[in-house]
Formats: sequence, C-alpha cells, structure tokens
Amino acid sequence: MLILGIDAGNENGKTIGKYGEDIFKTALSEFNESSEEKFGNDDMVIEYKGEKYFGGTVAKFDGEFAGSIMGGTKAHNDTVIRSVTAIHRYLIKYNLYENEFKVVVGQPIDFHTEVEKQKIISMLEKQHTVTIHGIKRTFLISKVLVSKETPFWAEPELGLVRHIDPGSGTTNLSTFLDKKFISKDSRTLPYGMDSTKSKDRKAMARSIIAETSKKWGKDDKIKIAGGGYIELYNHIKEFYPNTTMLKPKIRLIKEVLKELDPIYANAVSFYNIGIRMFKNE
Amino acid sequence: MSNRYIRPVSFNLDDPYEVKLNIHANKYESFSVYVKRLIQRDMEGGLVQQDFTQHEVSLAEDDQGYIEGLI
Repeated sequence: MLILGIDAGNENGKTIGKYGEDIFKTALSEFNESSEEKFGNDDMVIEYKGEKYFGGTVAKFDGEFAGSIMGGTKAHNDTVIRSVTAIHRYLIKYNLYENEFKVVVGQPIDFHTEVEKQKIISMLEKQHTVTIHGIKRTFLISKVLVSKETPFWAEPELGLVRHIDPGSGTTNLSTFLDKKFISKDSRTLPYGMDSTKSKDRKAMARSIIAETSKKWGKDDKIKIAGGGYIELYNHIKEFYPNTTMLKPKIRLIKEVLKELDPIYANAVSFYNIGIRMFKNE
Repeated sequence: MSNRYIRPVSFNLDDPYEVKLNIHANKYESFSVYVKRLIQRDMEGGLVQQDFTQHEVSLAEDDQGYIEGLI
C-alpha cells in the first residue's frame, strides 16, 4: 500500500509520495490521430473506461473541446482521470509495481460539503484500469480522504497563520489558529490565475487584499503557495509585510529531506494528512 | 586513593561497527573526558535522536484531531 497526496488542479496535477514528487499538465481533450505529431514531452494518450483522451499541453490547444473544467467543485469526471493519471505516472516515474493506494485529494474550501465529498470518494474509491502510451496498469484506491484545499499541513505550526493559495481556477484563503482550521476566516474566491479575462496580476492581488483585509490584520503571518505564487508574491507582500513563500519539505525514504517549489504545497499538505491519518490502518 | 568510580568500556574488535567506534574515539586525547562530554551533551538535549523521532510520532498522533476538521 502506498500513500499519495494528489492535488489535481485545473492547470497542473501534483503528486507527492515517499519516493518524491511528480507534476503534469491536466488539460484533457478528445483524441484525434493528427495531433499526435505535435507531441511534446508532457503529452499523453490516456485510455480510461473505453475512452481515449489527449492529456498535457497538446490538449490545451488541440481538439474541439480542449481545455479544463475551471473552478468550483472537483466532483466531476476530469478529477477521476486526473487522479488515475497521477497514480499511473507515479508508478512509471519511480518504477513501482504497487497496486493499492490510499490517497488524499483536495476540494476548494467553499465547495467542501458532505455531498460533494461523498461524490468524489465514490468516484475514486474503487479499482481502476488506465493505459497511458500503451502501458496498462490496474490498481485499487482503497481509501480516499478529501481535504479542504489549504497548504497548512505542508508546514504545520502553532499560532495564527493565514494562507493565500492562488490556483488557476480559484484562489483559496485559509486561516489556522494553533493548528485549528478557522472556518469564518477562510473561503474560496471564484477566480484564479487563468480564469479572469485580464491577466493583470496587480489587479488580482488588489482584489485578494480587498477581500482578506476585511478580517485579516496587516501584520498577520501570511504564507503564499500554489501555482500563482511568484506573480502575486510582491504585490501581496507590499500590503502584508509578513508574507513568506511556503517552500514545503518532504521526508523521502532513507530519511532524505527534500525542499520543493511552493506549487507543491497543497499536495505535500495532503500527503502529510495521509501519513497521519492512514498510519494505523 | 581519591574517591572515584571507574566504568570500563569494552569494544569488540571482531565487530566492524565497534572497531569504527573505537578508532573514532582514539582521535581524542583523553577517552574519559570525551565520554563525559558526550554525556553532558546528551543531558543538554543535543544527542537524543531517538527521542526526537518518538516526539515527532506523538505530535502526529495529536494532529489527528485537528485534521478531522479539514477532511
């Protein structure tokens, strides 16, 4: 049995386990023969439940219905394909033959309801067969936990800590006091790095600040992580001087400690939840 | 004769690991002073690798309650 944290985002899928990390483009489109010639390194032909898809960069631009489902709940079919792709890729990347997984996945804070959570669990908690580039793998996802999307457990600490996590479709804001999630100071903004028409990062930062400053103090400790951290960091820090980038560390086999890019923070947080919650099972 | 309690330490020279320990200890002029410094550092919390791991595990157990509110 292998524990994985999977952050199946709209732009990138990030996977963390004890062997290390993996990242891939999550765009999916319908398969057509002609696009195969334009394949890049991260492009994949994915076969799942009798359907064939393009995954990766080529899927973003090719295909009639190309792209990703942006924003909102993750209880949709793209999440299943992204998750099983994440597991398949992890097996190939680290040359593993594991066939049982316990996984922790994420759901935007505002959409983290019992109904949505159960939908995700029932879609994932079963046996899956997936073929990528002709390599077929069958495995069981025996247990699924659905975490609110926050990077807190990537770097847990006492005291008051707030997080800004700009994804491509949504931006999650979360607050913890002495490790306890503070619901009233946490929410999901309905925009992210790719969902707004304007790519004006300063305007996006202003909007995040306008939203957070109603409740957050100027000198509060803030950690920024997620796919959009680099472009927003300076703008956020101008207003909240105690802002830092969350650079998560993972403990690999043989006790090696590895520091990762902030884009992995949620996946590391999910993985750390997994090793705490699954260890006695 | 002064009032001293002497504790001998034996190294098994057939055991490569213990041979390594012995060679390492030879780097210090006084074996007795060296061992006493190690004990001192242990008392000050600098050498407790195993306890640290146990501490991490027990912290992780406390964490389960906090995580319940997130999943």
